[in-house]
Amino acid sequence: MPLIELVNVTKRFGKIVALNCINLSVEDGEYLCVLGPTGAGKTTLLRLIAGLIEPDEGEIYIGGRKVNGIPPEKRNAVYMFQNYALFPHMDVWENVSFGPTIREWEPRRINDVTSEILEMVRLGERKDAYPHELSGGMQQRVALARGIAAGARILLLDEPFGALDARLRVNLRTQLRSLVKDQGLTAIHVTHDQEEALMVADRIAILREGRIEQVGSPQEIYTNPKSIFVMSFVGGANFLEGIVSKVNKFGSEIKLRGGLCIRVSDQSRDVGERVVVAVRREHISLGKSRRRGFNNLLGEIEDAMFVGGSMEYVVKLENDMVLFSRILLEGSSKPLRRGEIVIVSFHPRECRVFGYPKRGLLREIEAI
Amino acid sequence: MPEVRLVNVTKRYGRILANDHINLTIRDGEYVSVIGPSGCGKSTLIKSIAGIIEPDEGEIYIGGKLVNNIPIEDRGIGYVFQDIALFPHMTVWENITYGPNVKGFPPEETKMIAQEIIEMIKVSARVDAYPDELSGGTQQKIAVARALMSRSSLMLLDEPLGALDLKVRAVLRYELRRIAKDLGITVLHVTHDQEEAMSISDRVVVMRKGRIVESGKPLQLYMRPKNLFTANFVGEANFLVGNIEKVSEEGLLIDLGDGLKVISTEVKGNIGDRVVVAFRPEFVVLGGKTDKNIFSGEITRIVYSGSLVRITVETPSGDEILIKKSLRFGESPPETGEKLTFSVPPENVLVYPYPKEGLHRELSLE
Amino acid sequence: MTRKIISIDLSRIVVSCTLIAFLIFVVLPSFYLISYVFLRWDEVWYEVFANPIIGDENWRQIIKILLFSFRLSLSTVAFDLAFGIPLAYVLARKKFPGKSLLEDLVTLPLVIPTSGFGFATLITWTSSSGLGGLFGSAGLISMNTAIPLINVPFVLFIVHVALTFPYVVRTVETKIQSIEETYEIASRTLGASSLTTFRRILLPLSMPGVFSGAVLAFARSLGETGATLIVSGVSTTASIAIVRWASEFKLSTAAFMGSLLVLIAWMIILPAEIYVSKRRRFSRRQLRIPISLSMKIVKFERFLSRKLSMVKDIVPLIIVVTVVVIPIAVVISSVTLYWSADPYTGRIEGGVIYQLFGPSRYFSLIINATLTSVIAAFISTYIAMCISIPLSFIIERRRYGRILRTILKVPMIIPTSSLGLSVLLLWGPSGLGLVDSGIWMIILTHIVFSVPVIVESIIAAYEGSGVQMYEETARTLGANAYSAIEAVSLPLIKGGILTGFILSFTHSLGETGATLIVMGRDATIPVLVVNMVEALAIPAALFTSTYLIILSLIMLAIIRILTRR
Repeated sequence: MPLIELVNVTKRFGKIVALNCINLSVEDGEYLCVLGPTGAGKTTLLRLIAGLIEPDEGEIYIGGRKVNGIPPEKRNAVYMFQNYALFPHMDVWENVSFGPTIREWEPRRINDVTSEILEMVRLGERKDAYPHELSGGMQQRVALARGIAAGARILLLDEPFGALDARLRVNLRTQLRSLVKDQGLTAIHVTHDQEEALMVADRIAILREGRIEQVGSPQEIYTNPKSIFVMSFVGGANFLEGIVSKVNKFGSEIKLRGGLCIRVSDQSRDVGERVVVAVRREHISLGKSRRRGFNNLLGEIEDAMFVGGSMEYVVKLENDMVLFSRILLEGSSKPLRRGEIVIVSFHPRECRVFGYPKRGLLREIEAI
Repeated sequence: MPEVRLVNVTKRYGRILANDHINLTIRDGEYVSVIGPSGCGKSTLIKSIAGIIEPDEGEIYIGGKLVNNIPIEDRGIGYVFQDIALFPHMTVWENITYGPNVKGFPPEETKMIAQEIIEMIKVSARVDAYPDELSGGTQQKIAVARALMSRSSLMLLDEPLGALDLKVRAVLRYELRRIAKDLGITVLHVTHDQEEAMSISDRVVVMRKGRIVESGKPLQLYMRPKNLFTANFVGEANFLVGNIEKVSEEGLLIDLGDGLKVISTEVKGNIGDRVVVAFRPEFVVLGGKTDKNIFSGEITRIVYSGSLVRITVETPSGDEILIKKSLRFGESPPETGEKLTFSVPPENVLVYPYPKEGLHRELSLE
Repeated sequence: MTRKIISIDLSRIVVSCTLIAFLIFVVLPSFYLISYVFLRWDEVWYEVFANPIIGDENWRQIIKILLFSFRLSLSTVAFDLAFGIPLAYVLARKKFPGKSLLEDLVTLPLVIPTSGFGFATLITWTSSSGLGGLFGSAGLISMNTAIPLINVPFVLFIVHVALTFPYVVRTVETKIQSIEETYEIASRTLGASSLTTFRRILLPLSMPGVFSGAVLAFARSLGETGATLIVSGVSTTASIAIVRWASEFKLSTAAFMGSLLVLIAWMIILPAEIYVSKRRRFSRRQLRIPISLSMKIVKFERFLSRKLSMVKDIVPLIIVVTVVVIPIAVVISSVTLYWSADPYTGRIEGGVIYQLFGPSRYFSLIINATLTSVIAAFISTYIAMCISIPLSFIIERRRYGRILRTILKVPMIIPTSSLGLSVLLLWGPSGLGLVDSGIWMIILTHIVFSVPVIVESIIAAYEGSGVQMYEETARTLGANAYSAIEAVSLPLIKGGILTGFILSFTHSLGETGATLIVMGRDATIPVLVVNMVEALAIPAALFTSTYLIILSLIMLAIIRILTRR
């Protein structure tokens, strides 16, 4: 039985539908990331589970019990704001022991639990410090300790790294996940950072404009995106518009702009159908010679950029279409330069084919 | 004629030195980013150039002219803010034409230039909208257009993408660069996101605790950072502590303890020096094909990040090493618990003197 | 388990009790006057419009007095805006030594005893112990010297300005503080001078605050009684007309005027609140100025910004000092001057000591009055606190909170004399007959205007420290609504509670208008001042005014110390 279940949950704010008929279940001990652009409804989702707001339609179950109408203090789901909301008038010790204190546990028990948890997050020495004296990362640890000490089974994390520097986030992600897993907690972690979600989640739910687009493990979402939006949002890709010109038992041929043809292994489309072929940037290699079995196109390097340990190349094809290729820097290889002519290769099996979207391609790629 | 020159610029807040005798030159047409952890002073720096903050000491020259006592409105620079700051009570058009209007420029000319710029950033459909009707990314583009209207040759971007989603940031940053290069503008771009800075800048300046730590071309900073802090800040790295055993013209031999030794092509330091050895996770070569710098250990964690796989290996001496590899088509990845042997090419082994404050402090990002 | 069940029921009980108490002690008295007029319409009609002796003379009088009041209040507000907005800007945006002192000077008129202050202003301008003394004359002007064009007595005008400008300054200051400074910086990076930035960016964005402040100031001026009684001379404002008629037992006429004032206050506040709460919170329609004119204006503003930045900082400061500080300084120095004897005639009968301890025995009156004042202030403030604290939480957490907050604005601005009359008619012998005029009625009256003050103070602290976020966190950590408030919210807003307490206590000490109507034979200190002035016992009035003013200054200092911690 899943620990948390949302059944047909809808929430409106005036005329705006923040969440539209959401169905989601979270297993006990799972680390779920809810990923989506700003305004998708992620925070609303968390607040509904926490009990800070009530759904207009639908039911929410925690531990098999329907919790609609049950106040937050009875749900055992701790909500963590982006800025941690550490009580400013209490020091670290008082903050962490807040839950047990308010539940009126025995003083000895409160003491033991609080010390233990503070040691676990390595903040035992700072127990007398006040929140404003701590760094962002430390504050986050105190907030987590506070939630754990309160005996929470569920952690609701609202953009937990939003307030931190980019570089710091990378380090803290794995620490956060370890802490949650060690304690055997269930976490719902909301973010707009797809890299983060890919790295920490057991499963990812993609939320867009109030609806869930896809749920699956990071690998699933990455290798089998169900829609252009998901593929674009998680990992990004090159999207090539074209028309199916041939279909046989080996695959299909797609005619792109300017008559350029490529082969894909997908066979599900009909001849004449308008499609979008998507290829991940990492699956596009640039070289001096053609690769057997691959699509090989002629291209010219327009721009070369260094992006986080990889080189990203902007390549212009003969038909003026532009492709992005991302190649991990591997020490000895020399980066390509602007103006160089290269052979752009990608394998037919690395191409995903989608039907041309009704609302237009740009809308789905979620560009600004 | 360099566009911006800072000479010994210093700013104090109480006892804290936000800017500590900063010397910086930005050449005409250059796209320079200043990166560093929160509180390093980069915001103070860019605000000083704009005139929003007055430095306590030092001089600032823009286009060769000393601007220390010139008020903000007379410095002739374009400024883009992190919180966008589009005037909420004006439409997009009114926002964009605000600058020329309050400077008393002829309206016909203003209109022409505005239309040009709107074309360039591709927002012609939304000129009559109010800011709160638009997405964050579009708002920021308009803020950029508004700043461009001053036709200034210097643009100051203060965490311009900070308020935006990751996805939008990734797309918009290239727009910034494209516009700058198309118009031949000099840009100073401040950000805490090193990936952002590294991908679009001609030059990157790293700041820490009020000082400039290092500056150079992105690739340079990544491959051969001169500084331990830089090595850690600009991308991930593995750090191991050891002592120099041998020094020769071709490089160094460093003893890491427990019988482990590495060779580096760097030539610096003396025998017996305590040093920190660093190498990037992507430069690790799997398998023991080379005979130099071989490590082995047990895989403790594997994380997939899209098409990248992050392998954490624990060596017998207890060090945790991170390896990043791209999953090749058809390859089957290793599993946790397996033993893995790998090596690091000597030219990718960086060597730094052991920091006085201790390794942990030096690598701290807060 | 049982404790939790009790807590839930407790909170329901608390909410109901609070709302009932609010209704009975605050809302009912505020609106009773109107229902009184309706219930006794025949009586009112008879006295006001169809009086057998004077016909509708009373009605004509009412119109004339109202028109005068409007002229006075409108010109007061206009002047308030002219120097109050720049002052608010300086306080909101600039840092300078002595800023907190200036803030206190702006808060002072809100709590200063109105009769004492009125008296102090009077002698400053019209007697030789004031500014006149510096020029060797017997007073710069007389009480009835009018300002040309608007035809309003100067001293009356100045007193009203002094007592109402804080409403403009504080409201506008709060509004400006809520606007991100980034907009102004952005404007300047785009090349706009600071004056142009103010006109095109800050002013439009802070319009709701300006509007709000102007409305509050207008209503305050309309309802000002205590100081007006002392300085009005031959003129009559609406609020003092009520006092006069009530004392002449022309209750129906007084009630009619009072109701009119309540209705007017209500009619001003309601649209203002609706306007301010609309989503489009700032004026988007801008004046279309022809481009050539616009270019000239901008150039002019650039010139002004450079030359006159100092002026806009100093002029408001000078005005504040003139209308607030100087009268206080004058009254204090006068007390010392007049201490043993009249300095001009040498007669001891004209000295403070004689008046206090001599045959008139004012001193014992003062002691009794002090006792009355302090007890009334303390009890009324205490009861008001018991209502206000839960009420503030109800306002913040419930959906109908907005409505409650709007209703609360009314007791803040209706004329105090109207209020006094309302309470007298409601609880007194002509109404429910539960209380007689005297200290208990004073207490009931003071509760009505204390509650809004305390509530606003608490809400400001609540919204300022983002308490809601902490409450929500506490709830998800296991605290029920009651414990969350106790453990988290109250500690975070205790500054606001304390400030509210002291503000309301001090205001209560110095309240004149309403007290005059309901006091019966128990006099409070500010009422004594009025009596002394009417009895021409000037030195005694000097002493009492000074005494009162110093008391409020001490209270204000206590707030300052407590909130700094």
